[in-house]
Amino acid sequence: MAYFVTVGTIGAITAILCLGVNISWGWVGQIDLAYYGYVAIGAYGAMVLELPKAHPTAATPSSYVLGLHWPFIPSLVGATAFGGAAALIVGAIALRRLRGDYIAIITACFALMLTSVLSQDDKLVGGYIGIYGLKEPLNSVLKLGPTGYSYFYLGLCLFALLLVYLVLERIYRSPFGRSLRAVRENELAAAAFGRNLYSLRLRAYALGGAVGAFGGALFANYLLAWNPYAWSILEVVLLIAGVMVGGRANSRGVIMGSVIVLSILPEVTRLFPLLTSNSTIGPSAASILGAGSIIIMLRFRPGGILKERRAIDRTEKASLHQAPMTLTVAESSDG
Amino acid sequence: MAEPQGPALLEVRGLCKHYGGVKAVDGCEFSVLPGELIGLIGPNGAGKSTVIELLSGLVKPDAGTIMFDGREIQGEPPHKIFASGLARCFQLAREWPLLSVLENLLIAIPPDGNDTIRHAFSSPRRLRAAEKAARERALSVAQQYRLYPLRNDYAYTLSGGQKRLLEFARIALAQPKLALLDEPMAGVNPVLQTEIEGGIRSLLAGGSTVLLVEHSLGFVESLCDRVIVMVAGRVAASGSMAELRENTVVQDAYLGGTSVA
Amino acid sequence: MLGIGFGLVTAAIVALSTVALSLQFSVTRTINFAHGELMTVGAYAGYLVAQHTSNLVPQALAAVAAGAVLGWVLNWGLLRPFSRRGASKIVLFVLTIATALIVQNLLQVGFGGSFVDYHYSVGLAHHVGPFLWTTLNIVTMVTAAVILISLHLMIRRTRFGKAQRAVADDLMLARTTGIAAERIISFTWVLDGGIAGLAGMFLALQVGSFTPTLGFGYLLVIFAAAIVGGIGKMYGAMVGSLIIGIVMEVSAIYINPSYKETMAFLVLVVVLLFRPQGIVPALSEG
Repeated sequence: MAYFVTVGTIGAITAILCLGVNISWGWVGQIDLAYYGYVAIGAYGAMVLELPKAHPTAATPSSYVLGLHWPFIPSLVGATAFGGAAALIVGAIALRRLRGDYIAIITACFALMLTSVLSQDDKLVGGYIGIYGLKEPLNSVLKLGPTGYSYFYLGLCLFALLLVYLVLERIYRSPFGRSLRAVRENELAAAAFGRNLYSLRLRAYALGGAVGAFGGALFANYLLAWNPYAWSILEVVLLIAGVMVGGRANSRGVIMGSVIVLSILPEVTRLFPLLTSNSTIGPSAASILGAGSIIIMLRFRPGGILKERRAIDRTEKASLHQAPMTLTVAESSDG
Repeated sequence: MAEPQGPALLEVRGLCKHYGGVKAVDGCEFSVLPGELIGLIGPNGAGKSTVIELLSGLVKPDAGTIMFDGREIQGEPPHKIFASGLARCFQLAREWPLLSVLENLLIAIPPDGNDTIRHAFSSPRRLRAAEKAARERALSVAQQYRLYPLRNDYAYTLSGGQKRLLEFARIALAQPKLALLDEPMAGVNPVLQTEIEGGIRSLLAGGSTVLLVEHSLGFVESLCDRVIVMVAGRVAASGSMAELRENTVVQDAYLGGTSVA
Repeated sequence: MLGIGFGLVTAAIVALSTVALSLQFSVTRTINFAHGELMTVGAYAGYLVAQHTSNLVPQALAAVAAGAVLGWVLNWGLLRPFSRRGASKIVLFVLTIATALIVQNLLQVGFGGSFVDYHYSVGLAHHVGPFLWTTLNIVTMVTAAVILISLHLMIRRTRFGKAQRAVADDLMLARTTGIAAERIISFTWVLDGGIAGLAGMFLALQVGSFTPTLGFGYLLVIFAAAIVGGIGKMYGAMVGSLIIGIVMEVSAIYINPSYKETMAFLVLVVVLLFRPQGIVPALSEG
């Protein structure tokens, strides 16, 4: 049972991360390779907000900034804001009149610079060692045992996933989401109909960064530690694979794809070493199959398993004011 | 050649755009009066379409000024130009394929700052009323252009003619001060042509000024009071169609079909 | 001066790889995010042959062959079928990212994720003018120079080079004028892969030990060099590599060795921000 709780908790967090990637790839149609940077910012951000001031000792050598000793929920909000702000800065530079594949390159540069700074500067967030020693959030109040707490945190992550899903669905259906999709579908026409491409993309990019940071903060609070080698920029590909398999720009599809590519696949390939003599084949096989699924989906079902849904209007004709059928009458009603 | 009097809605002076060595638009000058339906004609490669691109801001001019509604707009980004009341339709319909027909129509209505993340959640009453009004207007225009039954279909599933109607319906919804129509009649069947003609008239009735770029002289003659003839990137003549038929430059360049360009 | 000396060696390796990338980009207009993996397979091929012979020539040939095969497969098996079906630039780009991840993990399955040692036995240092170079350094630079000069001659003087330039200028036109565009593109990928594979081998020898992420670690440095020089321009790529190589080595000495890649990315970002007119014209063509 503990196994399923672990897989479920990480699965819920990963699904949140996929929903964030869906903003850049699904809604706007661009590749953001700095995404894990925002996840890391969220993770570190939550930790330095939650932890008390750093007192490096031989036992806990890591030293970090802030150390505000905030409660869990405000730290989560703060970390999300850090991610959004960082994405706003990177986006302001990367999204200026650059072609899609160049946006990917620039964002990759930022991600690598960030990793480099975070791991080199040991005063910022503990350098190579990273930060650890976080207490289980909210458990000072709940006072649950290890099993009880793991159920609680699973529930918390599922609730967070639901929250992110509802928030993003609402944005997707709002005029903002509509404008974004128009930009993705045909940017020249969107510009000709008054859409400010740069501003729309930048806002979407910051939103994506915020969602990534939110997921990262939840992740750090689950692992209770974080270091700069938790990820490589290429792993964003697997999140994109989740989006592509499930259904680009379809939030339910994205969650489904995340479960398939990032929860079930790694657990299945975990069994591979039992079949071969190669003991490290599991994670590699998961990456190969995950990245391979992108190629297969693009070839056979580019929209994903669940296609993007269009907004359905259910207005009955009768409820409209009697609209004229012929144009000669239309003139008089327009005038 | 009667130059129009009074304050112009659009005044183009010395407009130039060169692609490599090709002078697509080369010192183009004309003006459009408020409320008129003006035709822009010329042989292939005369620079008509480039003028539309320059006016709508999708292409930046090399030189020249574009005065629109008392303001210089050359070099401004397209979304600003749209916001100032200048909308265009595309020669090849550019729908947003994975949006529904209704959503395509809703995008054409100026958002007026309504399309922000914040307004997805805390929509003040004014904005919610605006969105509701926009839907109603979009639905009624959809009805007008026979798109109502298709309103929930993906736009890419429309036929060529329906896409053309959608293109036109978007312009109608934008309610621009000046509508630039880039060959709306090209490759359209006669029934649709009548419909688009009616659409143009209803744009005018709604208070818009219309600049109609056309290749087919018949429509320009039947619709437009005044016609501008472009040859080789500049305006060769302007006036009523009857006057232009007398003009030898125009005869050579366009009506006669010989190669002045 | 020592810094510039090392910078020249790094620049020579980066230049080889960058010129290959630039050549491929100018002809196919696809940004290849798996370019680093062309280098990595070259490094592993060289490493495998080195287990049997210490002679550098068969090692280099194996590296060239491995890179060329991967380049060909990438085009023939993946990118060409998709671009024939009208895939957009960003889709092709995503495919190359997926390929990068796949190749890295295949190598990981084959060779394991830990470092393998790869050396060239002659390590004597020579004073050349103000610089101090090993034999390997000199071999690297001479080979790079020979290849770059041959590429120059091939593109300027041979019929094939002319055809390649024609495809680079206008694919549709080249097709209609009877140039076998598909074959040119295919050969360009092979050439790109071969040169990148060789560069990968030299890079591995230079650093002494490597993992399946060797080439990927250098990918953005190579993009930086290509974009600083104006992507798609072969001579620009050489100048860009020189600038990036020297910036990296000099900053390693005067700032902090672990920030040298960061400096390369910084140069790239700054160039994109402040000299867009020098770079963006080439970007927006595609």
